[in-house]
Amino acid sequence: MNAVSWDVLLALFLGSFYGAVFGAMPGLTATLALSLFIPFALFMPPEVGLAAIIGLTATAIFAGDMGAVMARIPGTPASAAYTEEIHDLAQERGATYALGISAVFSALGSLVGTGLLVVGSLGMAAVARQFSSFEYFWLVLLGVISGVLGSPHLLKGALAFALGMLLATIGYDPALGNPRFTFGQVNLLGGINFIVALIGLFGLSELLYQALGKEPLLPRPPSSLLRGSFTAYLWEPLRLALRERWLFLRSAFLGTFIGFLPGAGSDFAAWISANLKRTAGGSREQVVLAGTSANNAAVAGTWIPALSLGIPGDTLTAIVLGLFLTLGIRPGPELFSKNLGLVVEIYLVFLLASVLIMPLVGYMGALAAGLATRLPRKVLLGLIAGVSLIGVYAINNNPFDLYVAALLALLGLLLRLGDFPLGQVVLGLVLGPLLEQHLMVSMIKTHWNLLSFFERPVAILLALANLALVGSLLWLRLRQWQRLRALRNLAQPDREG
Amino acid sequence: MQRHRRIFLKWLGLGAGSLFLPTAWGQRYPSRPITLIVPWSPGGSTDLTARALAPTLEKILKVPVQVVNRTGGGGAVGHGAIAQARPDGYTIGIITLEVVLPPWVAQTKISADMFSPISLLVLNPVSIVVRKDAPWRTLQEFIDDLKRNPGRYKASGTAKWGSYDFARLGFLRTLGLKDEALPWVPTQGAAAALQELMAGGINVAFVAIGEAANLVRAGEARYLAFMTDSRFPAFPDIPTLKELGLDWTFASFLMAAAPKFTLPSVIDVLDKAFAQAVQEPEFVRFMQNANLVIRHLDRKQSLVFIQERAQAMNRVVQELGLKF
Amino acid sequence: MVWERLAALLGLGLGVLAWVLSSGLPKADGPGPELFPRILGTVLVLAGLYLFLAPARGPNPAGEGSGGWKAGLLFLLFLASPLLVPRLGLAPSAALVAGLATLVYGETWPRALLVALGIWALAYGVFVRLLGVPA
Repeated sequence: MNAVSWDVLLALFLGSFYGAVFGAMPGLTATLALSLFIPFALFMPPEVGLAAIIGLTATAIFAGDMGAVMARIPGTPASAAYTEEIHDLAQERGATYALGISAVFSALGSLVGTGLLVVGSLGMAAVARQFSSFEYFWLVLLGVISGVLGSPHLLKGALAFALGMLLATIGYDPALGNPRFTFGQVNLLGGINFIVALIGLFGLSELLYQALGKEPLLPRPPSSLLRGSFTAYLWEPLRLALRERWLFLRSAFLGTFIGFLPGAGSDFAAWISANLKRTAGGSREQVVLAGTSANNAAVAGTWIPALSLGIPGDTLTAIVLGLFLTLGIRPGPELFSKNLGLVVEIYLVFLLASVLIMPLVGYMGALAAGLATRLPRKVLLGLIAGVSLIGVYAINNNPFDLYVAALLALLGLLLRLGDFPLGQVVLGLVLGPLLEQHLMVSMIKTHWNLLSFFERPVAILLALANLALVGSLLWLRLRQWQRLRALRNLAQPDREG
Repeated sequence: MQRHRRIFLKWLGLGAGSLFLPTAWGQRYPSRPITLIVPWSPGGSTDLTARALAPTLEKILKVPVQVVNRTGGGGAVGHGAIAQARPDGYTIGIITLEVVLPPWVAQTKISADMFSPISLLVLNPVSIVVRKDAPWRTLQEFIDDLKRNPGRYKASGTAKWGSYDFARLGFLRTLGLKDEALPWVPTQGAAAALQELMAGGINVAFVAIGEAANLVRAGEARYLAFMTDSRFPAFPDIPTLKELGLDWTFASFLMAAAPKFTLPSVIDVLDKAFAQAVQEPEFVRFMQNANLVIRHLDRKQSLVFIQERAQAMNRVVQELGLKF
Repeated sequence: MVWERLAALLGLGLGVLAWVLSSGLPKADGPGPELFPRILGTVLVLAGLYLFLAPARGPNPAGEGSGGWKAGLLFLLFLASPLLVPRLGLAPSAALVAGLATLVYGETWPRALLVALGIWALAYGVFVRLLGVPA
């Protein structure tokens, strides 16, 4: 097999490193990294450019975990789903262990995703094409329900969720195409940029919170970095993988499936998967592994409709499709008949990226993380302030976004002080527009015939899945609550009732 | 309010223009780097076109050409940045179809007459697409059915009041039908609309020819007609609306433009550079692969083109009595 | 839990605002753009009201620190940054904000200067030069 040459390997490695740097830095997303790389890719042979892109997208999502481990700031939106868990884990058991879990399960998740990409590029595409706005609506609702019921306090979760969704209603409304809640501000016509909101809510609000003199929230330096940490980095997470193999497999399959649905990418996959585990009362390790294996599996999953139909699975593959077309490669069934060599190469590069690149680059990241924790905390906070500011500005090159981020930082601080879950606000920001979009489209299509939500077989199936989720989650919460009350009764009377 | 703003801008532009007159005479244009503003995000067709052109422009103009994405506000931020830049020829940009769409103009207070067109670069004609198993063989069959059953079928292609929505509205207007005859289902763009078409959620899609080309080549969908002036080379069998007696063309476009009151001599230099750049074999190949149709018009023709488009859209709004 | 009540009150206020503002939106036949914000507004009002009247007793976050003024200064710094960027350019503004933030946290001058230099190098080298972010 001559499909993987040295050029390809080099491109894969360089692309991965570039992706890791962009993914780990908050405000620099995989999308931005890819867009900036496209002009270079045009001057490369397709297989070399694609290798770099696959390496980039695969590692950027994984590297997003590093920011979460280091500073409680997800490097990419896909890591936002379990930022708090992985950060707490890093505090408790060291950054190396947290990054080890992230690297091992990212690699394994990506491996499963790659396997499914090979099997499913043609077969699964046929299923995905049956999805219209009704099916999407139910699917997004699944995310909303698991997000609200998954938060520690139901009402606080609901409030945070609704706040995020309300923020996301700013801008053009999906039904009539008129601006909503923009207060006459042209800068708000397109809505609040998600990444700007992310940096404001998570990054800047963390800086404010730290200024209030709260407990330091940075991971302790790993004790012995090189030799000792290798156990923490590879061995312990691998043992965890063996122990949690079913949870892992379920998360990876779920992630791939969500990835291959057009429009839903790795961030959505991580949200659903992590929240499913969170609501089931999983430990921190379990939530993190569910999220991180799902979002990496989803990366491969998004390529399934892209390759087999020419319909992008997410924004990243949308950019990749643009490149395909410029290079004269036409995705779709004919790609598999005419250009099978390239398809096989894509599979192989995905395989290499997950088995070899992620643990390697991840280890380099772990080393870098160890170094960064030796910086004085105040210096690190100052650096985060600078990088966040650059990140917010670089998204749109628009100073207005800095105001938005500052105000959202204040909101984030208030919610944090009141013990509201910040992740739910971000979840609302992602899912709110999707939910409204698919609700309004479905209703406009059928002239407000609510029964139409239950007329298509897959839609009925997904509706039942929602019902089952609500039922089982409520039951779980009830049991938790009962157990808590029993404990409280035992531990009387010093607890304020 | 809007009027005051216009006058203010005009005054500002004149002031800046006269201020820079001596420099323009004193020095040869261009003598320092040029900023090319792209109002849409990296990776999109506007961005890709700009980035593919920039190296050639640098070679021709012999100064650096820096592509800058000014995104946000549904394109309003970037278009505003171009319109309000100093009209010295060192800040130009690529403007898009939005500047002639009445709802967008009303919302953003940015209109085509705030720019000095340099060159039309790209014209992406819109097609009428149906599923392979649709009951209509030809466009005429579809039109007859539509007239017999107004409001029965649904169309999509982009958001409400988006570009392709106007392609549909103009089509309905030439048929003498109203907005409600073929209701618009808002979707998040061509890919989402085609997905709805495949899943049976809508009956007709109005998308750019290139956007549906993959599905059509795979035999999943069929073009009924193109909204072009003449037959489209890549699909010579598909009729145009004009051939069928319907006087309506529609295409999304990319146009290089400078702020209003930029000196005509400066715009001439830029126009010539763009005209040369779009003919580079590498650029031509790039655009062909990207399914983007190069169509160059010089600055005078571009001005006529953009004014004609703005009038055509306003006519659609008036005759259909649209409110937004 | 004063913070919890405050956040609940904010949610309540935004919920009411969503209802008030959505009445000015253009109408469609059948529910239109106002539907979704009103659903959210209702959720916010109900949840906010409940949490305001009967705050949940979660684990109490760490007690009030003495750094209120620090957070205030930082927030002012964030608010000032959009005014700085168009005047000074991206790299100097980012460096200024990062350096001043380091000082606010109580770090020494030389280290703050080092942070500012590092951020300036990143902003200028990577973003302005390499990625073409307008300064």
